[in-house]
Amino acid sequence: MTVTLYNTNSPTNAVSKALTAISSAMDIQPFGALDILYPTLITDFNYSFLNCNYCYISEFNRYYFCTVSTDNAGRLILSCEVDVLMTYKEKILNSPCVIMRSESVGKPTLIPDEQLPIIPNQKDITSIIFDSGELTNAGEFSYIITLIGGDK
Amino acid sequence: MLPNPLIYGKPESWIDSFLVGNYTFEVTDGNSVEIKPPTLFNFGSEDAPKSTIYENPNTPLSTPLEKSIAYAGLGRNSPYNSIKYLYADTAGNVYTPTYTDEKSVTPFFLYEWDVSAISNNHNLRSVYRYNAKDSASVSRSRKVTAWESGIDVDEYSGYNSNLYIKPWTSFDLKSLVLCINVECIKGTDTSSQYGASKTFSLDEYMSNDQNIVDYPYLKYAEAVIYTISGDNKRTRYQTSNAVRGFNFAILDNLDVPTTALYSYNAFFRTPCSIPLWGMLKCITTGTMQEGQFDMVLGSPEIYYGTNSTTKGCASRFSESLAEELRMATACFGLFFTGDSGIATNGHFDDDDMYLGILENGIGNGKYSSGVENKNQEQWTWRDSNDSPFDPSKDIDDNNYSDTTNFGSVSISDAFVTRYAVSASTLEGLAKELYKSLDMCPEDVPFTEYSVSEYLVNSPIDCIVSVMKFPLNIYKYTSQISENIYFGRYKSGEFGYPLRRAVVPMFDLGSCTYFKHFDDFRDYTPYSSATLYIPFCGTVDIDPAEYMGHTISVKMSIDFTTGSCCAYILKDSLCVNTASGTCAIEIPVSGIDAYTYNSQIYKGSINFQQAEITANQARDRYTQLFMSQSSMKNFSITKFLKSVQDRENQLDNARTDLKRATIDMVSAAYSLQTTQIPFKMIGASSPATSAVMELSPRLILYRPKMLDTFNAEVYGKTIGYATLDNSTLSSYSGYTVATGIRLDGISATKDEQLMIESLVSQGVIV
Repeated sequence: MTVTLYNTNSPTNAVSKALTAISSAMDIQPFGALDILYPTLITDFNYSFLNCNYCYISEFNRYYFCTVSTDNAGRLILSCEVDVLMTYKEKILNSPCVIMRSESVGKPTLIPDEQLPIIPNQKDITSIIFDSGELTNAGEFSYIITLIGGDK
Repeated sequence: MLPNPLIYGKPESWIDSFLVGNYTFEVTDGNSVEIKPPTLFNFGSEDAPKSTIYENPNTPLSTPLEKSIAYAGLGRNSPYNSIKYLYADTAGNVYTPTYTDEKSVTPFFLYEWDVSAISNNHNLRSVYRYNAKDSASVSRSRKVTAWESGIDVDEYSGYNSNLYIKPWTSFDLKSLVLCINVECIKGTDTSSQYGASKTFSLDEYMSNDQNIVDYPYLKYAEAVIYTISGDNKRTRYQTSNAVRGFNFAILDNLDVPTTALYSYNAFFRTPCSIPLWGMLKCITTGTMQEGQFDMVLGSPEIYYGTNSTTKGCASRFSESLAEELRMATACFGLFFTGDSGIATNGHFDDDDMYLGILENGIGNGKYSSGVENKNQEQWTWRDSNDSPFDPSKDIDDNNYSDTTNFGSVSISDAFVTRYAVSASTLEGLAKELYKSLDMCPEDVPFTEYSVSEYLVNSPIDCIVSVMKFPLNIYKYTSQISENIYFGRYKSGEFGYPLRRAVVPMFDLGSCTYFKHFDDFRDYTPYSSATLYIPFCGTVDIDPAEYMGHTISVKMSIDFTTGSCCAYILKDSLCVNTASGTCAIEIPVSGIDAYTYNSQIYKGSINFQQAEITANQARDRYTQLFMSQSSMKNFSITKFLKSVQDRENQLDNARTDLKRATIDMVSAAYSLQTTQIPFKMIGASSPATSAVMELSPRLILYRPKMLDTFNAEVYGKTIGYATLDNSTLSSYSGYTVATGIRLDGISATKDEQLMIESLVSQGVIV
């Protein structure tokens, strides 16, 4: 199988990963039963391969997370797990979906967010006083006396 | 919306109007807009759907064209929704119309006709149905002379004139402008012809005062159609009925009186114009025949005429009548003006160019002018088919308004007089009142003196109420100081009378409710608000309802009762009210002499009656024993019976005595304990409200965030809530999505599940 070995520091949940090549494409044999999603590979020992945590298998056209170990004979065994995000990156990025949360929104929106840390038992209280109206306790002629009679 | 293709064919089958040529017209910003000619549907063409009912000569006469041809509807303020029917009796007299056909919304359309294929005696307009038995409408051609008696109206029953109506299926609204023309007359003598008349454009008429002096009455008004006839040029299209032309028609059947002329199509006197006001006179000679009906638009005040050539209607011209004409024109949702020069080459955003405003495709008489025309939806339409008007759906013809109109009330005070006074005047009045008690002559009973001078049994009863209000009442009075009267007694103190108890309305101020967070935290349940209103308490304010709007408070105060009512407005619309009492009642104590006297008198009478009854009971009791001892003739049986009788009488007397004794004791008690009654005029109401703030205050309750909240970390680890149908590529950073559609992906089923799971837990894009 044609395998290219890489090292990556990108988070496992990153759709697109930054890859540093450790080797060029080379022929590596599978070890044990062949599994397209969880293949195991075996190759001769190489110090530079110890840094490998990522690989690409051309025949499967997939990217994999790798864990390197050795067998009793000192050969390197690469236990791989498919990275669906990198493998199907273009399709994932351009497929319609419903975005529920995002960092790039930058701030809370009009969608209620129950995870926002609001203190439940405290409120900020402030007030706006209206422009002055006509009501006043200091009016000079503020009494009305109603009387029977008058100059009618 | 597009006209129904089953009736009016597909757009590719439409043909250009005879208004040929693609012209351009400048707008004031220097750009030119290209104006394409209207398209129309030709019922008689080979492309016309064969199933259309209008091709069928047997289609009932009263079948208007299908309404999908309408791009707008005539709403409120259109005279076509209240057409009046006017009858001329056989003597030729016309009278005020007694019947009005009311509608809420009337769809309409524009159309062309081409009568070159038929003889000149045929026309597509309405024709008098002279035969009274025939109550059907007319939508077919008839000979012009068919109004003469004896014509068989079915002579042309196989002739479907709908074939010659070519409705406009689409047109650029910038391809035509309506110009309001008015025909005005001189005379006022209703018994004869009104004299000379003259036709003006509306602005021409109103701009010269001499025109209004010489021709003060409006007789008829119409909207004349100007169409594009070249680059930056429009022409008033005029044609006779024998050649092609165009006009408008309404698409509703009319509820006409029997024997009235009827037509669902154009009612015009002048070719290529739309009647707006006056009698329509739907025959080519322009006169109305005796024994016939005519239709009237608008509400003329004067009807005149006793012969066919002099009949007419008129109203004295005024600015409000001019506005009525503009509103009637605006209902068509087209560009219009009152200036023929603007109609000829004015720009669409000139100050004197108007555009009727359509609300859900309905013109209700509102219009914009000048650059505001660019804000109307029609400005961006490619053509009339961009209109949202769908006459097949229920038409919302509600009269929406976002303004509350407050009225005014004043109450007559015929029996009392109110005075606005100061505190010092009030003290002076109290002293004057006590002084007046000493002025009673010694030989006159006090109550008699009081009734004579003060019109009441006690001077204190003159005072109906004394209230203190939280405002200076001076400006609501006559502002003329007058002597204050107790009944007929002039006190010598002065106050400002309120001749009529006005209920004033005044402002208590306003504020604008702005966003604070600009996100969900500004709204319930996270934020809330209450509005404190003086004397009325608090009103809950829903942030979602008021956010971004102005909250204002108005208050009306009833000077009679001291109650107040506050009105909470959102912008200009009153959405809530609250009421309370703002006046403090001042207590006034007094002695009610009349009540005291009457109670003493009543107690005395009761005592006398009780005494008499007790004496009578005692006498009967005593007599019984005396008669018992004086019996001389002895008989056992009689004796026993008499003893029994005596026993019964004794019991009754004993009861009477007991009852009478109780009455006497009770009456004595009443006399001894009759209290001098005090009358309390008014009661001291809590004045606590008066010490509160006298301006409204909007109190806002907002959520608090945890001090340790870090917006950047939150975004990277949790992300901000959003709800967007999009793709991950539209976002960046930490993103959570759901419902991802992976159609056509080459991944295995397990891989697809892995993708969905990872994306829903959050990925970094």
